[in-house]
Amino acid sequence: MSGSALAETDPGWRDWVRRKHPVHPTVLLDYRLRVPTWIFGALMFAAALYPRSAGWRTYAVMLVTCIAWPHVAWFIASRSRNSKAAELRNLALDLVLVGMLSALTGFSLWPTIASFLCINAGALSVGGWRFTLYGALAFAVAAAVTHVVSGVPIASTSNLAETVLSIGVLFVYTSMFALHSYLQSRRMVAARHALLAQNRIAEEANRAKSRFLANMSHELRTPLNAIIGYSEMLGEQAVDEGRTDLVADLQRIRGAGRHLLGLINDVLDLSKIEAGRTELVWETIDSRALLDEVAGTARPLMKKNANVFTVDCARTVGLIECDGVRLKQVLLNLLANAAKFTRAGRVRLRLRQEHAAGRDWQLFEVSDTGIGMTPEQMARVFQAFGQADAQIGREYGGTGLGLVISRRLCQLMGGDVTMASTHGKGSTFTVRLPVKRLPDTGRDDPPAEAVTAAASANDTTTGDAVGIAIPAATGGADVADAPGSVELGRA
Amino acid sequence: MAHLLLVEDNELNRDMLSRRLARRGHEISFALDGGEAVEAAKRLPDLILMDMSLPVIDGWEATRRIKADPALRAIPVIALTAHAMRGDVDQAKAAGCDEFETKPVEFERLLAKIEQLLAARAK
Repeated sequence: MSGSALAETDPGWRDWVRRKHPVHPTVLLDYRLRVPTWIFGALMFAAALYPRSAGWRTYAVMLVTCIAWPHVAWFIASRSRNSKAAELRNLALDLVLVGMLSALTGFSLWPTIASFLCINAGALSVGGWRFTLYGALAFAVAAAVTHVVSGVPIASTSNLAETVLSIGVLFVYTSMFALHSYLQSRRMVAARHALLAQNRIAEEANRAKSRFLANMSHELRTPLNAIIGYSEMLGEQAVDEGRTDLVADLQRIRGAGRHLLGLINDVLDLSKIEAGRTELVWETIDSRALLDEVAGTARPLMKKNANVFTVDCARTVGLIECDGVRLKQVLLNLLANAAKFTRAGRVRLRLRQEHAAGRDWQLFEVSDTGIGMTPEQMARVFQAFGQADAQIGREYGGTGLGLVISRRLCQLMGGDVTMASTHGKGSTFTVRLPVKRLPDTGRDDPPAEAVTAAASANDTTTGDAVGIAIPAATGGADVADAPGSVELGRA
Repeated sequence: MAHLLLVEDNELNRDMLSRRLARRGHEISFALDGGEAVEAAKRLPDLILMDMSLPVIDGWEATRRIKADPALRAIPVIALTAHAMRGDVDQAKAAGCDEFETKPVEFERLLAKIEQLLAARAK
């Protein structure tokens, strides 16, 4: 009791105790209920024991249970590693002690009712219904055993003093319980208000961030336009005037400018995805037509490292529902990577369909016979700026954001990007998207199966790269720095 | 040899783009904002290159006004936007732009679009 009073008047002390002995909330709840209730409980039991001329041992059990035990229980629970479990053990002992006391009063009507109701409510609020059931059993067994051992005769009536004090116990206990419940709801409401206010602040901050990014993107691009434009113009002039010595340097300026532009676009793209502000345009896509378009755009890329490029398409593929522009962006990014990391090898783009997890999926596989990745490198490639290692970035260029963006986009479209790779042998990246409709069986155009073209030998396809507008030029970022490469963003 | 109206508020971009177009034999006139663009359009250029983010009146509104005027409606407008947002393409089309190009422009492709629109108009 003195501890409790001190706790109320000296928050500093209380805070110190809380910091030193953090307890489960139920421990604190039960302590606050026990202390005042059992002071009245002591008076109630005394009134019940007195007419039965109980011995000093009985009074000792009563005094320990009512006056000392609440503090001992708090002490034990607050110093144990698992305060909730300790609290439950203490409460179980409580139930046994109260059962014993009830028997020692000869099951005097009102004290037995009052103590059982209080201990039952306490057990329910702290331990739940299962614990309460076992608790009631413990109470009954303890009472029965004590009755037999002590031989106190059953006299289930109460005199006036016992009745009044029992009602006092019930009054104090229910009041404490109700007060606690009231304070708890108030704290909950306050917490909810605080949370809502925090959410509003966070949303406002997020909007401010998006505005800032959009503005920054515009402000950064405007001077870049000039840098890229003037370097291109000077390049044309240098060619016209026969100053071929300048051409390479001007191309480097242009290449660096394009690379920076790709970085800005990628960072903006990723920020929008992370902020949940990417707007997808859902449309029904004929994957085969899309595959042809992507292959046409990617073909010139393959020439650079003298790679053989093949495209395979399964005979029956359904329509998918996704954002076609974004899907092209993802596939071109994967193909650009494959082309970049493979020299005089093979790059294959393959479309097939499979049934898994209760639905049909379309799989776009981009596999190459390039440098491949070690397991350590694979663990990093889907992380922002996690290009397999820094040396790769210097040697092959790229922003290290393309794969992250590709994967996030596919996840937004209900699919994913996965990979398999063997160091030195090559890599396979698989885009997996859900098929939304059954295959259109009415199609009668010839299947675009095994459209195979060796890019190094087949230059006539180079001009296919027309009319694919990829507004966010992410796909182009990884190749934009290579002079003479196709700018996927505006191929 | 065609007369192109270049609407662009940024001095460097205006200078760079006009010099490159002039090197390809086009005659260039300028407008610095949307209001000027609508006035300059009345001198009937063969084609308008319109930046979208402009002071006073933006490119979308200027295009809408030009396309609303029966005397000017036939002049092709190519929208130039700094943002590579898809919404911008739709907005440009809704305003009545005939073509669309993202900045920094792919110069050869821009030229091809200009030639294509001029040829279509000549027919």
